Amino acid sequence: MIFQILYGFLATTGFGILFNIPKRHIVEAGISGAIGWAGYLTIMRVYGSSVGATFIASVLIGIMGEFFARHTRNPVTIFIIPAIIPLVPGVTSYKAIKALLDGRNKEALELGILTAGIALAIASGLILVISFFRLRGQKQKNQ
Amino acid sequence: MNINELLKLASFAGQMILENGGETYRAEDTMVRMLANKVDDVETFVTPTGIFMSVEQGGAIYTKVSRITKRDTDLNKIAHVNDLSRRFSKEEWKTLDIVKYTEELKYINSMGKYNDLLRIFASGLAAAASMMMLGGSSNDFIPTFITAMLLQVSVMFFRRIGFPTFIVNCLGGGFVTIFSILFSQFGLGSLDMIIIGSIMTLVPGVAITNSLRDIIWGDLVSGTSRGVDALIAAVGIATGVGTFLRLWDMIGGIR
Repeated sequence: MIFQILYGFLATTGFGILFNIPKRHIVEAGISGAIGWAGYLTIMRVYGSSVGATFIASVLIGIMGEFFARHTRNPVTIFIIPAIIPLVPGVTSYKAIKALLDGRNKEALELGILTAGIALAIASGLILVISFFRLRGQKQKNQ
Repeated sequence: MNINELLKLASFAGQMILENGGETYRAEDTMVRMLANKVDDVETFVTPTGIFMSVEQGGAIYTKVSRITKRDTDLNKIAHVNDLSRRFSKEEWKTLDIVKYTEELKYINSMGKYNDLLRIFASGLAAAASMMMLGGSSNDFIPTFITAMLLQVSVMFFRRIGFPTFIVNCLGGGFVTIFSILFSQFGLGSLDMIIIGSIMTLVPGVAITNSLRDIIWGDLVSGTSRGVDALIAAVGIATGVGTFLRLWDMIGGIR
């Protein structure tokens, strides 16, 4: 589990460098990736659903991103984009394509639905957090 | 000082945000924020492929249209432009030194990325670490690391030649598949995990995230077109991987 969280940190920092995020914020992005992945692993262990786990992970990444963005006065995307990429359903979409190639259409369809479910979980998790913080931002502006 | 200069500066700032992977909302907000306290009225309409900006001052209306053709990911530039626009918005019309800000913006635009070696290493690290997260074993770590680094080198090369993104994704997916087949044939790691880990560095993360953020902010045109962008990228990767897996199958390879 500790190694897994470390991998979450390393993957996020790697993507952070690829997307050229500022030097002094790479560690912060890595931390939000690691926390998101810890949430994923916890839900996977307790509940066993990859869609649910992805949802929780993307909610956590969104919250961490907003926190760091406010804290350092930087655009929130800097922290969210590198952390969200390891959640992308690479395994299921790859398996779906492979099943399709082999003519196992039923399996391909099942995997395709799972892929769509995970993608939608990322979307709804992020949308939830961002909409909530946007609401708060607007209230502060109105006051 | 002249209003055309202001308009040019603000739309250049917006253009830089869009070109480097910023959201539509951020580009609009930046341009409006920069000019709001200096002119009577500012209106912008931004899509991922173009900026329309019009400013009203003393009864006259000035407009600038900028076409966006380049699309890159450089979050460092976005952070810098964001910072510049916040300082600019506090400046008063009378004491404003527009030349200084134009120079600064040009300087930000010319800033480079991390050097190539570090980026190649980072893509290996990112791929190998995400492969471990997705359930790979430690036997796959080194092969994935090397494959992803080779992938990054070839992607950088193709981009420099000026290949379109779709072709780069196809070729990248193909490259990854060839190297994975080689590694797994020599008993180094499993074919599936090497491919899955390495293609993670091709995943259109910026397009996915920004598409969602655009839709939440009500920029539906931008949101859907970015979503399509992400989908096309995924199709490109799948085409490359699928073609070479199929070829390998046809020549009788074992997987």
